[in-house]
Amino acid sequence: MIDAMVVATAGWSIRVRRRSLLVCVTLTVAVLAGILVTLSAGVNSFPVSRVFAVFAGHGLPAENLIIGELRLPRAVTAMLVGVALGVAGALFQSLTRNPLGSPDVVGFNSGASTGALVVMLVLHAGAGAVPVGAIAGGAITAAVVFLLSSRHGVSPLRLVLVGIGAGALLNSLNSLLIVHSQLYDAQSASVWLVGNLAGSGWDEVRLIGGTLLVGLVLCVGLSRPLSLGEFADDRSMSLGLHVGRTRTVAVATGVLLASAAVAISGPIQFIALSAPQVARRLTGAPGPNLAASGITGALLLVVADFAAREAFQPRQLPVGVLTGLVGGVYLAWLLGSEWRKGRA
Amino acid sequence: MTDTSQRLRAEQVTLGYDGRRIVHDLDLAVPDGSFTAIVGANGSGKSTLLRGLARLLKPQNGAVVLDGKAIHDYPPKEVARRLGLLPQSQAAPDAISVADLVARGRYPHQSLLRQWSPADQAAVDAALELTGTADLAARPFDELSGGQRQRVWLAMALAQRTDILLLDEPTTYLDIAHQIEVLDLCLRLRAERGCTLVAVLHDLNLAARYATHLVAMKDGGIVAEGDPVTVITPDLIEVVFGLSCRVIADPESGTPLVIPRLTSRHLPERKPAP
Repeated sequence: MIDAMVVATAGWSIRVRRRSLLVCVTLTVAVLAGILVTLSAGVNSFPVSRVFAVFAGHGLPAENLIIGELRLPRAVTAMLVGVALGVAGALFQSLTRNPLGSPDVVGFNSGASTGALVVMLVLHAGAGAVPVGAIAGGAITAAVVFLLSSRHGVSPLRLVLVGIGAGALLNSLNSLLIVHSQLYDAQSASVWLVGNLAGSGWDEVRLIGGTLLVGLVLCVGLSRPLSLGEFADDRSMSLGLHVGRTRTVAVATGVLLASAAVAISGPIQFIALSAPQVARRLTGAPGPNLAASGITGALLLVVADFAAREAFQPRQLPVGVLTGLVGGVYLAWLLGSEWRKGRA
Repeated sequence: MTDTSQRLRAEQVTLGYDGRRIVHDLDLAVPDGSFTAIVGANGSGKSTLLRGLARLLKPQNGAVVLDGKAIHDYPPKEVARRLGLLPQSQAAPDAISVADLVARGRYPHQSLLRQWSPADQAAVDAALELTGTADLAARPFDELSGGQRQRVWLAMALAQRTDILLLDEPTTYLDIAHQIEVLDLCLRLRAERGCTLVAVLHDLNLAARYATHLVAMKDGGIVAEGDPVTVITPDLIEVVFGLSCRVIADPESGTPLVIPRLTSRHLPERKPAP
């Protein structure tokens, strides 16, 4: 009847859908294979055996540098940022019951960027303070957007509309901050604002990895309440859901993940918007599909970053340019189909 | 477990939104095992009262008492194991199947580490069976007709396995045949499971036929309550709805049947019956 299997002992039981599990496993394998490709292929290409030699500590100095110190941390960062964006997108799309409710559409990423730019350009604080600025910016934006869109609870559609407005406002503010800064600062800030993974090192991996750990632990507890939250509030409350608490924790988790991603790589568009939609079509399951969305995000970003790195050699394109182009087309299509359904 | 014969009561309860008070100082004791129907004009506070009884709305004053304790002192899941609600809202997750939707009714009985038990499966199967929706189980909910959807929503509330079930206008948007079907199902629940039912109903004649206890509301208070046979009188209808009417016996059930008096001079002309 239901395509689900139950793993149970006397004390506990876990229920998973076979198809969701299969999708997650397959996608994980694809992500790992993708990372292997980005490590070995490219203008400087190495046989896969040499990649494993580097892992085993037998690499030549040049291999150690290119594979181990340049490509590996960048690929791992891409994977982790992709997970963060995919999960954040799934959280917000579930909360707003709307595929347009992603952090990159409703202005949270713009807010995180504003926070980071203020730290970079106005306060001239060190790179270590950028994540703090980004998370503060994202959190303040989310708080304001939620306050403006709530009356007897948050109206999902109003949240999307208010968020798009806030995003537009913050994007202008971001431009203003750049225009009013020193030329050198302005240049690096502009590049950052496109979304870029080039130059990611182990520090970035540690930061996004640590944040992800916290975020994913919160997600374990959020998955079931969120899937109930997709009903109208009256119904989910009558089933015993703490609607307010669930919403607060989900927003906090989503803002944390999205802002951390922005802090590491700049506001990379499209991943948070599309990963949950791709994941839902793959699993065919209702609910937020948090795990599948995260892994899909990882796959999308690992592939996109590899393309951005190698497709336009000898120049490297910031990955945000690539995702922005694809994402713009996708967003237009999504708006069109939502419009036909009468929801946007 | 307290052995009162009214597990659900409203005590001097005042309910409203923001500053507005919609229900004032209202007392109500829902008899256990009854089918209580709440009737009244639009805006009389019926649905607000039901939301208050279901813990969806916190009283500004007074309390709703469930099993001897204020309902807001319980954790939400604890309430959801004792008392269910069939709200009017229709929103459902995208692409959800009927079986999945009904399974969500088991939420209050589950936790992170107890996600699915044989009791869950049994409750879902029984709910599908009782509402005649078992053959729809694999279908996507979006594709169902209005009558089918209402039966599925009811199945979800039944899967919750509560002794008390509140229904907010369960027959709205349904054609007459489906209205009867849903109300018959309510009677079956009462007979077979001993459920207590509280429903906001618009159709006075159906309320009179199905309810064991009738509550008539006006301006946020109760005007009359009791056995529909004694409560429904032309005077009461005049007071509650401002409608002049006759009350005759339903030729089928013998319960009161409200017949509005002619109010317009422009009714289509009929030949007198032969």
